[in-house]
Amino acid sequence: MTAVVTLAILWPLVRRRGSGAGSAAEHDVEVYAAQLRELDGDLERGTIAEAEAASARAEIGRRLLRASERAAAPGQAFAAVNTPRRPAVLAAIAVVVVAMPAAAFLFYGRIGDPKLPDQPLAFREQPQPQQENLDLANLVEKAEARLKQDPKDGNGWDVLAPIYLRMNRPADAVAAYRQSIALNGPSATRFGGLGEALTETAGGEVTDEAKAAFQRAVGINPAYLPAKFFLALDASQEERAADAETRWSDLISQSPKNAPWLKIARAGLADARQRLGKDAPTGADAPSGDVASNAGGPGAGQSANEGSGGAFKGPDAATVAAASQMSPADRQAMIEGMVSELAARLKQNPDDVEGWKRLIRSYTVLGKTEEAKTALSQARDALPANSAAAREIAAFAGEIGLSTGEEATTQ
Amino acid sequence: MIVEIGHFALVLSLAVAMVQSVLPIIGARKGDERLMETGAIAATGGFVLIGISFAALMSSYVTSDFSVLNVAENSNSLQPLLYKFTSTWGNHEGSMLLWVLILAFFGSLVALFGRDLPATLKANVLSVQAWILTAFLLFILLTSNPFERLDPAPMEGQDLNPILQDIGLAIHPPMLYLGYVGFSIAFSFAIAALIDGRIDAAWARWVRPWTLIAWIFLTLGIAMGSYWAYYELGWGGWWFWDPVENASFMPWLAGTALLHSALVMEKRSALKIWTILLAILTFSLSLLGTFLVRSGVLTSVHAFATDPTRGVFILCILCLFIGGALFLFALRAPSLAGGGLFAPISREGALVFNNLFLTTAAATVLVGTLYPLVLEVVAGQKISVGAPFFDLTFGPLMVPLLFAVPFGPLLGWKRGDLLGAAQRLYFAAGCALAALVGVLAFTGGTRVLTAFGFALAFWLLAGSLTDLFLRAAFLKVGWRTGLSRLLGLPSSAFGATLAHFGLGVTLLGIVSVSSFQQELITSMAPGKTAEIAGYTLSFDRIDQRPGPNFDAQAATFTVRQGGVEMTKIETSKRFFPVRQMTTTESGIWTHWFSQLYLSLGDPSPDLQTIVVRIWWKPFVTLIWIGTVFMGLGGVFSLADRRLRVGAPTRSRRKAAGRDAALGAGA
Repeated sequence: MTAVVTLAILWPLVRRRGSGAGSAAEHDVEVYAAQLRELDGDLERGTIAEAEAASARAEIGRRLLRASERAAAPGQAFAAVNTPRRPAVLAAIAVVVVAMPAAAFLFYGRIGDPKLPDQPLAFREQPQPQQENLDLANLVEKAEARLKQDPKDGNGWDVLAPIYLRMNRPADAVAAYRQSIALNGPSATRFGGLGEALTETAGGEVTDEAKAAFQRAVGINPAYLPAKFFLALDASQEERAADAETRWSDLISQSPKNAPWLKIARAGLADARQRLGKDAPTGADAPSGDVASNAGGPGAGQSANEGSGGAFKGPDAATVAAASQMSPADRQAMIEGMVSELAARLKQNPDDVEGWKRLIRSYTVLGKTEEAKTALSQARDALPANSAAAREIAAFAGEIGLSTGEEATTQ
Repeated sequence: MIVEIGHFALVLSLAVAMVQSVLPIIGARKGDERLMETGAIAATGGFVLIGISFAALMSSYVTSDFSVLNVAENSNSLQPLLYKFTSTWGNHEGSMLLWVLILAFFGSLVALFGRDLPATLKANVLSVQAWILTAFLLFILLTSNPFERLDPAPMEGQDLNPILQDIGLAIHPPMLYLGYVGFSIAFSFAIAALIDGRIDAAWARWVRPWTLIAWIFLTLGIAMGSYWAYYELGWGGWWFWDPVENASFMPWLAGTALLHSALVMEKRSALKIWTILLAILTFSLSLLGTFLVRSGVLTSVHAFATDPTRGVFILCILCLFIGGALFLFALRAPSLAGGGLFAPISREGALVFNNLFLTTAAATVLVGTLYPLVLEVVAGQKISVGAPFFDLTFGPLMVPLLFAVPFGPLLGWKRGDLLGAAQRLYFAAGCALAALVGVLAFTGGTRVLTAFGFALAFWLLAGSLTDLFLRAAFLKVGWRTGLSRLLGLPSSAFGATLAHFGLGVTLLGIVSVSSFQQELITSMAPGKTAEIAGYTLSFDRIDQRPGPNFDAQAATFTVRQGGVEMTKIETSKRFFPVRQMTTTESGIWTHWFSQLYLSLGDPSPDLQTIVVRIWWKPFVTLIWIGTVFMGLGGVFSLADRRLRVGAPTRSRRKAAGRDAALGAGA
């Protein structure tokens, strides 16, 4: 591409060519002459009166004479001009051949991303070996269709709700969580998720409704960290600095080392302390100012949190969205974490039929058929043979189209 | 790869534009033909490169490649295909790319069709075009790069703003930009003339068609935008004096003035310096419009202050080009040769009158648009200047201008006969009088202002036709010869008539709607009926309809007149879950030139009834039909062979020129 452009621009520079262009004055002469012919045409058509035409002709004639005098004058003509001037042309060639492509490549090198391939939808939807769940949209569609037929399927809502949240469909997530709570009963994760979804629909603001949900989540499970995160965020947003400080520092002390919210939590803590007039925590922990803006990642720049004024400058709408969504990978990890939590719990308490069903369904929705089969066979092993529970599991497996796990058992 | 190829093509086009900014103009100074010729090729090459870049962005949109940040933020994989295409320019970055694409397109047109231009003029013009291009390419690449990447790509995009998910987006911005940017050619020609310190005879012939092209697109673009706002926003208004609308209206007013002054310049070599100034002003207003819309300064001065990079960048471009151009003008204008003289009452005089009023009107709109901004900066107050201000200032300015329109074409060049022209307008005056009396009688003498409005509209309609009628001399030579004479008239005569006629049509629509519109806002439940303007509307049903990326609530109404069913109207509200936004799809029934307009408001808390807004808009479509006439007028003017004669092939022309010169001397 560069070569073609360069050569094309180079072409007139290196080409030798006889002089063709007349002087500007000559050009004027031609234009006036054309004008005269038009005048004659007008006269023929009768669109201009004889007298008017005569005076117009006189005027154009005068202009024409003046122009032809100028054209004839030696000083004005470009006669000398058509001889090529070597240095200028050589410099121009240098510019076109060297400077132009160099500038383009250098500039592109700074701002471009040449190694990053295109990722069109069709490409992203192809199942990829290490991530089996990429065909998410499709699965969600199937799940939705199923739920439309059987809206009383609490497990379906339970699985779908966090996925909606991840797909940036917070309103759907709110509805799904509500259904799930109504059908499956309250749980920390459900209320936490509901709160998160409500927060996202409100553009990142922890509304009173969301706050109530988070409080219920913490009420059920006092160690449920995501809900605590949002409660701390709420304190920051409402500028209750002292409350925010305790909440953030609690959260930080309870969080595992690699928790995705730590960065924001530290920024929030620093902000709260600043507000209280305390020193920001020292060390690499919290470079307060820029963490707030960095934490937002790609979205932070575009958000104009106009109302913020003097309020907490940390996580604004975009940041919260980024945090609550985390990155797709983080969220994926979270969902998987939830699933493995369930699996662990079932190992200790294998009599929970509903739990097994949920686990198997989760694996199916996540596209992890193998795991689903393993879970199915584990459930068979755990539950007394020929019990009502075992029959229920078998029926359930048939219902969702999972093959009876003979081969899984032998594995 | 495609994305990055597009990105690189854009960067390369910047390098090419930089070369084009320098080499041709040096060539023109030194008289080096080879350097001058690089301009044409660079302009074409630059256009191809930006075209590649634009196509790459578009393909990312069509394939929903969310690894491009711009695509992820403004599109969604569920959108219908058409909106995937149009999303390309439905956002800041993409629309700027469209802007430069069109700029480069016009540059390449000059390069391709400018063979007959004097070489130095052409080289200078292309260089000036390249300056603008360079500035805007830098703006795009440094502050609003549409090719910024996102890795990993998100699963789903954030969707295009639902209001923009309409066929209007496919047509309106490209047209408007063709108009805005088209004026850059007139600007470049003006600057080139100033740089050269000389106005070639070919100058006016060249400027006029380009201005005309830009003007046609701008006219239709504005009209399209107005109709779009009318049916999409659900408020039934066709013009809101919104700053964004004003931003496009100001260049239109100035461009219309330029069109007329270029006419004087072409025919009479007069008003040269004024035309150059006007060319500069017109494009400056286009740039100002771009600045107002693109910097975010309009939403709020504070929004502008939170992310000033873009705004300040465009402001710099604005100052550089407008300031630079006006400075150059101040420097060079005194040395330019003035043109011919003319009496105050003459065609030229009439066109000066037109220019005076149009530029004053543009200035009025400018004040109305910028005053709130200035006030917000200085006093921190937030006010909005709306219809009342413009009705009081813009309206009175237009009345004398519109009154004078029919006189213009009837006056002779150089010195005209006002009385004679007035006498020839007796028919038009009769029409106007009839309209006046008719409306007064119809309204029982209560609507005097309306009556005068109708009179003015009919005065324009009949007056613009008078010119053609007289030039064909139907009365003198009889019907048959008159008809053949009519067909023999140059098409620019039809152009002027059509454009002025269109003005009358639009005015008729405006006066009619603003005086006789009927409005009914009521809360309705299915099964209920409402009455407006002699029509009975019964609310049949309301139902849910899922769309590709939205859920719609569609209400169906049956319209009856005197018990006879006329039509069914459907109007709906669409909810877009991704953006959590609701749009209204107004239901419109066009009956002759009038429309019955329905839109849905909010449902009552118990969901039993819903607010329905109903308007009867008599002759509303005339507003837009008039602009189509104006556009057609422009096309006719453009098609006038005599404009393109500009400079026919050299040898033949020279010989002919000599002959003609001899003839003139004889």
